[in-house]
Amino acid sequence: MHMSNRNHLIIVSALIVVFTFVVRYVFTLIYQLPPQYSAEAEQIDILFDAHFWVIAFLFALVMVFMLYAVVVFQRKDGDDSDGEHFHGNTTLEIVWTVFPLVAVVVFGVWAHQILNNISEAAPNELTLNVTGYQWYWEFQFGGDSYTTNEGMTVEFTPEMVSTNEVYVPVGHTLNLQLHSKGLSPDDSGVNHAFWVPEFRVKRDLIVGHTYDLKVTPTEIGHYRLRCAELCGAGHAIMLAEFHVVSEEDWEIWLAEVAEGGLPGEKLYTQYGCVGCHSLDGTPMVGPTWQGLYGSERVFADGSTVVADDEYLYTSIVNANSQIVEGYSPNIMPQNFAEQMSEEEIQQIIEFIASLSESE
Amino acid sequence: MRHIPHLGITRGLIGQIVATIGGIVFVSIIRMLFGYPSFSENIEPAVAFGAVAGVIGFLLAAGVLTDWIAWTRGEDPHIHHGARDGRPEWTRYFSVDVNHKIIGIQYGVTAILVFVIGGILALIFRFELVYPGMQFLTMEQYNTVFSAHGIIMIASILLGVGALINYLVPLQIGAADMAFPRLNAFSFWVAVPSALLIVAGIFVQGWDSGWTAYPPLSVKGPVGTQLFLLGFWINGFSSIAGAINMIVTVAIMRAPGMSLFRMPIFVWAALATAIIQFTATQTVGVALTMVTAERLFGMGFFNPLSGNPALGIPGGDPILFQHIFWFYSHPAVYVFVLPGLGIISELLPVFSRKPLFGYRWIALSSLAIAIVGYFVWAHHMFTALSPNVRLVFMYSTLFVAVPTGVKFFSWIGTLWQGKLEFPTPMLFVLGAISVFLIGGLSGPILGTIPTDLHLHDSYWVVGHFHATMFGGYVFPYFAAIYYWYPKITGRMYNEALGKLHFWLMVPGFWLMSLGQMRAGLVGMRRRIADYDPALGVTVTQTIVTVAALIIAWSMLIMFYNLIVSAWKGEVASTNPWRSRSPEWQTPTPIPEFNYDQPIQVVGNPYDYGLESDPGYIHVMPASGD
Repeated sequence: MHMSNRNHLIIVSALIVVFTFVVRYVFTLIYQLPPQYSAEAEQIDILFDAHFWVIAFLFALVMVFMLYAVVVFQRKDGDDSDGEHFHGNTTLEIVWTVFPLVAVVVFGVWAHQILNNISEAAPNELTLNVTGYQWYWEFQFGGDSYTTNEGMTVEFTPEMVSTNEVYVPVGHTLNLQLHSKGLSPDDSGVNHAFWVPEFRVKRDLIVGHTYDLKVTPTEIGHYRLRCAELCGAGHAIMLAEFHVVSEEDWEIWLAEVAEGGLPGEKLYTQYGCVGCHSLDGTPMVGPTWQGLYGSERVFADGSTVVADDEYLYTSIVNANSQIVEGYSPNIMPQNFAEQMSEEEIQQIIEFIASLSESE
Repeated sequence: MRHIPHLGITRGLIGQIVATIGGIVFVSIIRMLFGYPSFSENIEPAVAFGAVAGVIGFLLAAGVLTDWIAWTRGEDPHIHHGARDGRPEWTRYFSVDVNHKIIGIQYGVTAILVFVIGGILALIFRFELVYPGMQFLTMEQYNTVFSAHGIIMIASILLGVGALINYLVPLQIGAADMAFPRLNAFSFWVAVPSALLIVAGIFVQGWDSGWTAYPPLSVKGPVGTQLFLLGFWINGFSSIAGAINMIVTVAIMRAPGMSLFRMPIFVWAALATAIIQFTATQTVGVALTMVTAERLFGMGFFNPLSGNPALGIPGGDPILFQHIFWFYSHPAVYVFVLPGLGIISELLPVFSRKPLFGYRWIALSSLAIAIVGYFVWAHHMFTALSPNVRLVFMYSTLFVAVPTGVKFFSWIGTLWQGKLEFPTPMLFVLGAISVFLIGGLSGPILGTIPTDLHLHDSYWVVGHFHATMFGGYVFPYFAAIYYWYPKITGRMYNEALGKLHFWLMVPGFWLMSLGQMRAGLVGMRRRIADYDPALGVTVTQTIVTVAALIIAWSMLIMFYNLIVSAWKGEVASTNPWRSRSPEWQTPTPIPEFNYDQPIQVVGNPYDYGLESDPGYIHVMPASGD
């Protein structure tokens, strides 16, 4: 049963080859990237694939050698002698220093090249300003107008601001301008990050900076923008619907946005209420506004009050004075009395009331 | 029971509570006199001052500073060895003691207690993540729990690293103790009140900025943030003082004949670790100080609104924090793993009955990792840096793979043609290699920027980080506990329970790690209290939670084994593993000063199987009699 070192190595090499393919196959079962829906993703995924092959090979290399040694080089019962006496092998050490060195340089240069490709300026980029607040997203297309590839000109007006939802035309390179803002002039805001997994690329929104990111969506579909940098209590639900549509559908949507809704609804996004209060009952950091007006509110001490105009007014200007059970104080800004005019507060209350009437 | 009031830990805790209350009252009165907002309106200044006062109160009352204070009075206090005032031996473990082995055990047990706290926090949020939607935590509570899990585990790892280094290095280099025994005691004891501050932060409004404490979020966070910042900051003294002690000890206290390349390999790892701790910890201290100053005094280092455009004064910049923070915090991850990798290299030859393959390459690879580790910090900011700057850091980051690869290949070389045996410590070493391999191989894909743009701040990073920490620290730490257990307690642990622990924990961890990476790849972000069911990660999240439970159960088995075996285990021989290392040649229990007679190094540490072997050390004949 005593085999030469050469024979051991032949068996191990064969096992490594087999095991490499097995591991790579297992990866296809357990490691899936999201669908590839941007031009950038197409390039990045080639690098992902190469990485997975290298991981599979190196995993097989070390594990096969280790498990082979565990099985074959076991000490027999009662054998107290020592193993083969050798201290090392300088040639081998140099080989397994130089090969990884070459490999990482190759990967570095390759990654560098891909990064250059996906950062290159494209002709006719469409600028989209993306602003992160605690905890919602705001979108506005940059410039006064944009001429599509088919020669159609779209005019942008200042009213065309949308919250937690945006439509973009398919096949156009978006030049995203990423900003982060606070809810009031003395609030710096916090950092966020832009990530639509189907597009692969990610960029932080850093307070005080404007960063750019290029994305070219290639498939019509409905995706979700997810904040990827911890930004406080509402981080998990800082999501926005990112719709990639045809140019016609994009124009229709822009026209809808320009029309707007109730004055209170505009204020709902303007003052950032949207960051914590949903309109459709979705649980968020603050209570939903759906069915809020006229409902019975329960406080932590068990006392209750019916949500009327006066209750809502106090909740807006002095939120900490009446925290509903299950919610935390000190999250809602305490200075809305200074920020909003009386008229604006009344418009918001009307808007909240309208959400109960419609049911 | 009658000894409890005299124990250092009891007195320290009372001192901390009294001084904290005193500090809070003092600042509250001052603020009242000068007309600042009252305590109930703004508790932070008083709490911050009380926290710092509490730590000093702990150190004074526990007796950590007693000898130094006597020095300042011109007295010459003799260093005290052994239990004080005729109390039993066990009281030494709960009081200030200068013996490195006592301090090592203090570090080690505290590390495990803190690890249990961190683990319970992990289980809390793992249960929350079993299903989408918020189950029993609010989103703020979730953020507090995961933030606390992160920093408490880091504190635990630093304590565990301190345990390994303190206990082993003097023994392995043939020294009687560390170079500065009082400083050694200080290094341990300062970590206790600082860890308490962090734990207290959970209950004082919590904090939601993660352990990384990025401003502006950490500046806006509740009061718990401040306690966490101060606890973290004060914990740094433990690292810096311990590292100085370690470097000096290795430099001047090695046994005669122990040249650098004849040191046990763990000492190399400990030295590389200490160099990082000694030179990098200060920078995170600066980062934390600046956030504290911004919170308490409104100094806008990181706030763009702090400037005055009219006067041309620029505001602060939050990116600055990220740089200063990662100057330390990236090298720090090598502080966490290098000692563990040293344990792997230390134990493999013993259980393979073979020399360590490529000793010098392994020794120098630790230093290489430490050095390269200084130049990679900005890869934590690949999504936040200007495109050209980040390229430099992509290349430097990828280079870390080279010395790490040297270690893996050398471990294989050590196993090859050996006569392997598989008691529990060896199993944990092999488990560590497999888990660190997962951690290592999931790294370069984060190092190349295009793939990182997808994986950055995703669960892939969570999986990668936990695999490096478990493979580089947790598994080797458990291997070390089982391996040195007979030397520390004089008894053997229960082998069957040790193996059961291993066979639960390895598959448990593999499952957890691969599940986390899988979730990240499909688009799950890290640090989220709730996830989108549309992502399709619900089953994966449930599996990861089950895996975490398996790991927790396996650890309960270990605790049972370690506690019961200390009383009922088989009596161990002096050198049950037939190791050549010096600590196994001295009697069990180890004498107060380690070796009754000085030792001399006459051979190489890992010459298993060498014919006409001179041995590694000779115990010098007793002189004078």
